[in-house]
Amino acid sequence: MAETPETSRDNTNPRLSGAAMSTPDLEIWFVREVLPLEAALMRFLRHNWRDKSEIADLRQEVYTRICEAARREIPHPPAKPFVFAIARNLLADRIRRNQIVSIEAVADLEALDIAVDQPGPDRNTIARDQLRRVQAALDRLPPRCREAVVLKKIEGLSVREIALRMGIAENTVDAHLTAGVRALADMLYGDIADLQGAP
Amino acid sequence: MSEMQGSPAPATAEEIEARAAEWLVKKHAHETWKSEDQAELDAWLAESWAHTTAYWRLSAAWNCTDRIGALRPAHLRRGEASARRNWRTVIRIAAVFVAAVSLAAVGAQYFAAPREKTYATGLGGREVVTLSDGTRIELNTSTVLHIATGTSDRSVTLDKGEAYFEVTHNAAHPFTVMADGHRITDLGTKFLVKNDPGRLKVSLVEGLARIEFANEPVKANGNLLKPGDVAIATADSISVSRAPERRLKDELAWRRGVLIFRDTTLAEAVAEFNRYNSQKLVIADADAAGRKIGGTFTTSGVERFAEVARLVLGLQVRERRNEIFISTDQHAE
Repeated sequence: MAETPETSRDNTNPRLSGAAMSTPDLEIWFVREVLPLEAALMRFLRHNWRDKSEIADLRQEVYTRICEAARREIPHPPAKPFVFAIARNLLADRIRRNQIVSIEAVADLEALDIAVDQPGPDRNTIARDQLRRVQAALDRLPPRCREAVVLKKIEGLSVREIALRMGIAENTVDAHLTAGVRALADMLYGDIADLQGAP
Repeated sequence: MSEMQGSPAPATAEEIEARAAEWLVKKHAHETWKSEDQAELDAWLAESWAHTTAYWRLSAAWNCTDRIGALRPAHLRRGEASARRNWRTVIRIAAVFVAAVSLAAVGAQYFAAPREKTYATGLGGREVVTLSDGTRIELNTSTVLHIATGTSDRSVTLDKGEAYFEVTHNAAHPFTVMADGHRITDLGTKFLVKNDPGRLKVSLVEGLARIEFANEPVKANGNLLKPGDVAIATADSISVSRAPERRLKDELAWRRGVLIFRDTTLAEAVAEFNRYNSQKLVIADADAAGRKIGGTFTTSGVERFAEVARLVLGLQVRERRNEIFISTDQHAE
C-alpha cells in the first residue's frame, strides 16, 4: 500500500501533514539538541512535581509539546530556554487543572528561572564523553541483557544467532534487547546518568 | 489544545516506550523486516508525537552503540550491506569461533580502560585492544604485545607477531611502538608492524610515522614513512620501499579473517597459512614451491587451499598426521 515506505511518514499522518518542516530534520534536531537536555529536564521535573510516578508521563508530554511547537520552525539555538519554557508551562497547566495544588510546586515554579540557568552538561561535553558514557552504560546493564546487546550491536549477530549462542529462546533475546535499549536510553539521556556518573 | 483528538485511549509513557522498544528491536535485530512492517511502524509513529519521540529517543540510544561497534573489525560488523553476505557466510564459522573464544576478554577490554598489561594471541588468534585514548590495536596470530605503565607515556612493545595500529594522535604525547630494537613513532597514523625474528616490517597505511633504532635518540628527521611506504628493519639497517595500495590492502586482509594471494608463490602462501594453523602445509619440492596461486581464503582454510592446489595446479596432495604435503606428480610415490 505504501509505495515509498521509507519516506511516507509525513504523508500518512493527517496531524503531521501540515508540518512545514520534514520529520527527518525535526528528528535530527530533537536528538542533537533536546535529548542531551533530558537529564536536566528530569531533574527539573522531579524537583517540581510531587508525584514521582507521573514524571515519565510529564517528560513525554514535554516532548510532545516541543515537537508540536518546533515542527513549523525549529527554534534558534540554544534549545535550553525553549525546552524549559515548555516544561514550565506544562507544569503550570497541570497545576491549574488539578485543584490539588502543591504549595512547594508553586513556590518552585516561581524560582524556576534560576533552576534553568544552572549549568548542566553542555552538548560538547556530552559529545566528547559520549563514547565513554556508552561504554559505561553498557557495562551497567544486567549481564545477560548486556551479552545480548553486545552480540547484536558489536558482534552484529541476528536474533536467531544470539538465541543459539546464548542458548535461549528468540523472544527472550527480544526481551533482553528491548530492556537493554530502554536502559541505555535512560543512562545516556536521563538523570540516572547524572546520579551514577557523578564522581 | 495539545491533546490528540480522536487518538486511541492514551497509553502511559511506560507503555509507549515499551512498544517503541519492540518496534526498534523488530526493525533492527531481525532479518525479516518487510515494507509492510515499515508501513505499520509509520502508522504507529503517526498516531502521536508521544510515539514518535519515544521511538526517536530509543533509536538515538541504539545508534550510540554503533560507535562502539565501529571499533570492532569489519568482519564482525554484519548485516550492513547485502554485498557482504557472501564472504560473511564464508568466514562465519571462523568469526563465531573467534568471537566465542574471546568474547569475555574482548568485553572486559571494551568496558574497562586497560591498565598495565600484556596481550597475547595464540595460533590463529586475533584480538582487538582499544586503549583509553581511543587508539586501537589489532593483534594477529601468535602475537605478544606489552603495554607499558604510566598514563602519559604512550608506548607499547611488540615482542613478537603482527599488529595493526590506528593511533589517536596526540602531538604532546607521541605514541611509540618498540619492536626488535627499533622505535616507531606515530605522527598521526594507521600502520602495520610485523615482527619476524631479525626482520621488522612496518607498512604505513595512513598519516605519518617515523622509524629509528631504539638505542638512538629521537630525531625529528629520522626515517619518515608516508602512506604506501614499507620499511624493512634489521639489526643494522633500515630500508624503505613503496608498495602499491592494493598490496597494503591485501596485507591487512587478516583483519577480516582472510588471506589474499595474487600471483603468490606456493612457498609464500604456505608460509602464511602456517602462521595461523596447527595443521601445517609442507611443500615437498622446489618445482611445487615456485608455482603461483591466487585467491582469497579464510586463515583457517588449509584444506580448502590444498584442494585448490590439487584441482587448479594439478599438484599431488597427501595428508599425514597433522601435515599436508604438496608436491608435483613426479614426486608421488
